[in-house]
Amino acid sequence: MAGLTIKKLTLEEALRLYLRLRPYLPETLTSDYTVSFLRQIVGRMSARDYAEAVCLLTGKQISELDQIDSYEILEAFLQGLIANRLLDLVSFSRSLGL
Amino acid sequence: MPSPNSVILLLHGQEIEVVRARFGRWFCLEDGKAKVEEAVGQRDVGLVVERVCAYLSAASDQPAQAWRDAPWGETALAYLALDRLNAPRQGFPFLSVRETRKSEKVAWDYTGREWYVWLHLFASAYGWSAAEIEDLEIEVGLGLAGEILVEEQLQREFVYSLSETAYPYNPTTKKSEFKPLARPAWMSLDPQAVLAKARQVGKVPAAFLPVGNVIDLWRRPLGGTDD
Repeated sequence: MAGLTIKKLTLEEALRLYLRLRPYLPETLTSDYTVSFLRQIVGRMSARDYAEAVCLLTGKQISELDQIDSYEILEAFLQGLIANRLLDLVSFSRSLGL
Repeated sequence: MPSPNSVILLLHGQEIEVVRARFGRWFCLEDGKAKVEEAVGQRDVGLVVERVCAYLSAASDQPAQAWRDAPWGETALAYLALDRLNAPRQGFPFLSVRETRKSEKVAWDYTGREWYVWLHLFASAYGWSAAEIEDLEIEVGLGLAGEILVEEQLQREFVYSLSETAYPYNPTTKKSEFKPLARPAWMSLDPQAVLAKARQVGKVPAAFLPVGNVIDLWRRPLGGTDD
């Protein structure tokens, strides 16, 4: 993954990511990141939300994503969700009431 | 096991120890928490983060910007841990029972007045200075505040019971009957007692009972014949 590196998100970036993902998340979450769980999220997402989420996770601009291979983008997205502990983020954001 | 009086948190990978707030700071933190909830209600992420970091800064003596720039896991964990550390360790009725009546805004109200109301409460009851009140333990402050409020209410009830307005005339019984002064919701009744009363099965008035020969179908043996 030469072009895309995963960011460690700050609270503001993480909450913005959560709000992007929120419409596509199931009400109850499983306790681990199964492939089918992550695939379900990606499969439901709109192209805009997907691109915005990738930008948050990689620090890239949407225009920059045009030059990157789609598989590389998908891999960065999935790795980014795992590295930024999506399940903990969802449970924290929900505990705040977001 | 006694509850801890401090917690170790991570900030940019460094361990920091944060001690439990005293009464004055606890009051600021509660105010900060209410502001976070308000920002969540407005669905404004920028404002939520600003207020969470202000809360963390007030609770930990670290700059808000440091919490803002930290990885989200550190900030979120710190917020949850400090909220738990500074939560009252005892249930106080005047904190847990919600008033059903919404108190009206008065002309002399202003932002931040609440703390002065508490200071006034303690200073007039015990003659303590602001610094002494701020340095109370959270539970001591809340417990004493509850006792002052109870005493004030009982005093008010006593004075009221000496006045004529406490004994309105009842034209039905042609007597003056004592009408107690209304108490605040948290002093009125034990919530469990209210629930128990609601569950009680009362006697059915005769007018509501069925007339004639009642056949109790519930107790009839299965397959039985009519008499």
